[in-house]
Amino acid sequence: MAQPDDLNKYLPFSETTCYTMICLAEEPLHGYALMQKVSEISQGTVSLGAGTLYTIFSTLEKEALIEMVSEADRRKTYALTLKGKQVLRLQIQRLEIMVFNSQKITDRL
Amino acid sequence: MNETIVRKSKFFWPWQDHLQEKWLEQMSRQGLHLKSINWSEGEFVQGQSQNYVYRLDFQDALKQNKAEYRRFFSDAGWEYLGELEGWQYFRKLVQAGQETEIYTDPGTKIQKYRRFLANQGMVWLGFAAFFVPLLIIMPFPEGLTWLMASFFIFGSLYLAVIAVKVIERIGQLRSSL
Repeated sequence: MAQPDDLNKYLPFSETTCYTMICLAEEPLHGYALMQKVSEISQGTVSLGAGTLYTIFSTLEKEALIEMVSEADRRKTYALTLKGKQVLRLQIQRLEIMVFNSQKITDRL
Repeated sequence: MNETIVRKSKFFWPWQDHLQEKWLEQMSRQGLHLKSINWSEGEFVQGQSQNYVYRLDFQDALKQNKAEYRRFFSDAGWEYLGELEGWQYFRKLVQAGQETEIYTDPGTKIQKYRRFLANQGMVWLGFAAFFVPLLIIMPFPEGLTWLMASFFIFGSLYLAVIAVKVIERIGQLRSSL
């Protein structure tokens, strides 16, 4: 089993990679469905271009954080691997710390 | 239906993909829509002025994933126009609410230029693997050897200029990370 130290080398995720992982944690998706879901759940703050998502999928697959679970009609559907889930959990911890610190100072802005 | 085909050519350096995109967009606004492309020219279909965006991706190792790659882009509304030495040509009509970029974050855009850089590195290696042994053995008369040597040197310089320009672009993108 991978040690947390090894998992930290994948972090921090870019905003686009983070949203990709969050969506796949909810359910396996293919590219276009994921693009739509990201712009929806990010409330329009993040838009994924086809080239960007294609690159993110290739990178995450190479790093074994996601895997293809099915292919139909030349569309590949991806899901998180066990390692992907562990790494995402670490990323979320980092974000929670950041949100915690941000909330302490919002009234000063 | 009868299509009027117009051939046009314009010179671009290999690192000017963004200028090529702009030129193709201008052509479409004048009613000339890219149909196919090769080294020397593009074939354009004459029609009504359209507000297209053209985007060039670089993918030189798609192989058996080509159909899946094209599907990925067509799902997102991109029409595939063809490939030229690893450059993949796409276009899309500009419409409200549609993403008109293929790269929406600098990190993945940098990877596009890194792939191009690696590809040009391989081109140079192939070039060197051909010329260097010949220049060492020198099986030809002196004049021909000099000709080959200068061909190799100028080719290498040209590839070096490409590398510098692409690295410059990566640097600009990295500063916006």
